[in-house]
Amino acid sequence: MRKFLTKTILTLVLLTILYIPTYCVMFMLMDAIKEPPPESIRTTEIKFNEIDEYKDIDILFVGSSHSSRSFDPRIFSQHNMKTFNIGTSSQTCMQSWFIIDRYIDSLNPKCVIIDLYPDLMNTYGEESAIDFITSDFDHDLAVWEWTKLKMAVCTKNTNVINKLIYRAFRRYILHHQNPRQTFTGNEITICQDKYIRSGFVEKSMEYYDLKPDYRIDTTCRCNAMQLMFLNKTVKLLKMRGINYLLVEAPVPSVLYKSYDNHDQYSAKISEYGTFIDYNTRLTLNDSLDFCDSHHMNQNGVVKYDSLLINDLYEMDYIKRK
Amino acid sequence: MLFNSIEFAIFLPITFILYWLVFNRNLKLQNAFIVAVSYLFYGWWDWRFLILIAFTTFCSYTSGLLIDKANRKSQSKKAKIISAANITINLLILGVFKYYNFFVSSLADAFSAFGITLGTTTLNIILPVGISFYTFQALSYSIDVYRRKIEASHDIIAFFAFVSFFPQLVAGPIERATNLLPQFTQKRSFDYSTAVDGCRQILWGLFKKIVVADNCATTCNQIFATYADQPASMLMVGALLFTFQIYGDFSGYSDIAIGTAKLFGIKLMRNFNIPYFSRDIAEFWRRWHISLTTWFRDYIYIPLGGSRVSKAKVVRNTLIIFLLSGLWHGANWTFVVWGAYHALLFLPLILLGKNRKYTSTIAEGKHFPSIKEFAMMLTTFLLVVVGWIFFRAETIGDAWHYICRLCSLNIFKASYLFFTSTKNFAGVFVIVMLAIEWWQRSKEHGLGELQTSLKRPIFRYLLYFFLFFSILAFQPIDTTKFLYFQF
Repeated sequence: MRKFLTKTILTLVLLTILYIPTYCVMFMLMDAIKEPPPESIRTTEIKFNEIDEYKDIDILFVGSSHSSRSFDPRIFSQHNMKTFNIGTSSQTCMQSWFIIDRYIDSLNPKCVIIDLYPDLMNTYGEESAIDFITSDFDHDLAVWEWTKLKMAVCTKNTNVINKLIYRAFRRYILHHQNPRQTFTGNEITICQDKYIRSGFVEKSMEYYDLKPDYRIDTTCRCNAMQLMFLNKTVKLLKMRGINYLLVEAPVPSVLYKSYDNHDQYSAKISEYGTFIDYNTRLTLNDSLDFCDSHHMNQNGVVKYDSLLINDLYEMDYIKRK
Repeated sequence: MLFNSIEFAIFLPITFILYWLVFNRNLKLQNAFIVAVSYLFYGWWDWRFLILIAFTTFCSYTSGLLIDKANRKSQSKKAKIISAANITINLLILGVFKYYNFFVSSLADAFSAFGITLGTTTLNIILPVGISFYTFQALSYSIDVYRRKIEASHDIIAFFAFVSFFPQLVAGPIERATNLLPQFTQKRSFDYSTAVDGCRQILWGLFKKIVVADNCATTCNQIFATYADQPASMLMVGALLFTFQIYGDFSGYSDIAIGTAKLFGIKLMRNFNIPYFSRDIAEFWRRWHISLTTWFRDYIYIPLGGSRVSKAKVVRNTLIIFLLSGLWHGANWTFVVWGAYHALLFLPLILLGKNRKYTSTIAEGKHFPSIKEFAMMLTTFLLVVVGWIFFRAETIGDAWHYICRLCSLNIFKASYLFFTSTKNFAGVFVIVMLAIEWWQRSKEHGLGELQTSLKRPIFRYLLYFFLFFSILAFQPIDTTKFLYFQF
């Protein structure tokens, strides 16, 4: 028994010691021969390099791409509202918590809008964690590295931890960083998207041909980890006396109808605060108001944001200026 | 708790150390510990269904005692009634949780075809993980007691350990009481070489599940979801990937289960024996999901008369077990068609008396198969691949359209998914898995008796490192659960 335990532990230690350098070297070689990643993934980097310019804002938006592609600061500024959209690709409640916790003091928002896309409520935030890990932020390095580590551990996913190890190897052994994206003016074009200052990603497409059968029926589920982070976020906001609103951005009707238990989902989310499902409040056209199978184009964004602003006034979350 | 989760990676060593170092002095205590950790393992998914397992186990335990008592008093009618009652209760539970909605909606569909609308009510219930596995295991015990193959167990803790033993609780192998129950009534001692072999089998199982099955699933799921837009070449790739996904997934689970059991000094039956190297369908069914196939053979096929009856009855018996086997896999007509398809392939062999033609290890003592053997293996493999399309599709209509599109002329046209599929190295890992299984085909598993196959330790450690590295480095982000959990 002792021999077995000793040999097993030694073997595992040896394999792990060999694993880390082999992984880093192998993926470094693979990185050297493969195409560079598309620029679109860099919006997270741009956004978080921009965030320190903002202080004492009216509204902070958090959530997935449904947030970053839905809340246009230009529309809110017409109502004299200073906003920042911190939504990133596939961001879940877990990442939102870390971000809010990190920036709540500096941004000091009057109101926080949390977008909750049902498909992400049953994930462990792996995709978003990788997005953060592969981004290089040019400020608060130590805080960010610690946040990335915490995110990676929360996902409990080997793939994410691998990315963290490799990123550390690239940054601290090879001293390699993503080239800094220069950004002057109010917008920058990245692939087919336009990044608008204050965190909004715009895609202007006038007509989108959505296939009616692209999505199979899905059951909305919320895992315990995501609900735990949502609860922590809500508690923090309540403690600080910050108004918050839980929302679900409009999606194409084909996608929305594919959920077979949306009522249960809405009831569950409503336990954490006021929840507005804008799919039930706003009727949009799948082809004219959307740019892909998930996100609104500028037509849809204008309609959605106008309605949201109206709701915020009516609920007295924001005072008219 | 999933075998490929961090929770299990923590749970297993703690359980192992407590089992051998704390609870090893008393057999009853050791069995009680097995029951406790097994219930923890299962309850991690949903603790409410522990009541269901406990109830199933208690029914089978009590019925076993009552049948045994009736048998001793030569009250065969009473024994028969108790046995039938236990079977009915178990099948009723299985029926309600797994098949009720399917039968009700099928009945409503059948009536609606004649313009009659039935006011049916479906149940909004979750299918308990592994219900088909532990129900069949518990059933085998009471049937064996009724048939006087074994004596009823009077040790309730050992019996609970037999039904709920965590490595094989949720996805098999479906053990027989004759093999597993006596192992819980005898003192177990730690054996170094068995434990090492168990670790190797776990490593091999994890490779098959995480590296092969999950990487195949990534592309396969995309192809099946968009099959109407894919060229025939991609549909072929999709069918092949699913073939290896289901094998890697299920045989991987079995390997981890058997390996884990070895760590606890328990020997489980073999569940897969390189089925894709079979020379005909009959051989395939002797090598695929062996614990279920032999269950159907022992408890349904042979009692019905097996093959020692008239040809018409042989056809009936064969159809029954294949259709039931299909239905066992899931409450959907696609599984029934899959079973019927295999029955049609199997029937000519059994009617011609050629169903036991190939029982030996293929190409024994040789490095490669002969051309004839290779052609036979390839034909059997392709027939099995076609069957998997029915198994994987959502509906029979989808499966049929998939096959029709597969037979179209654009077989040489590639799509963007082909390039996606090459990025995750699924094909490379499938080849590695097949190569290792071919090389080790006479052994119990892919890494079985490795010290005789690879005599120099450096080569063994290089192989361990390759597998360990692949498991950690090539795990897809979106890891799928084990497919057979749903059955």
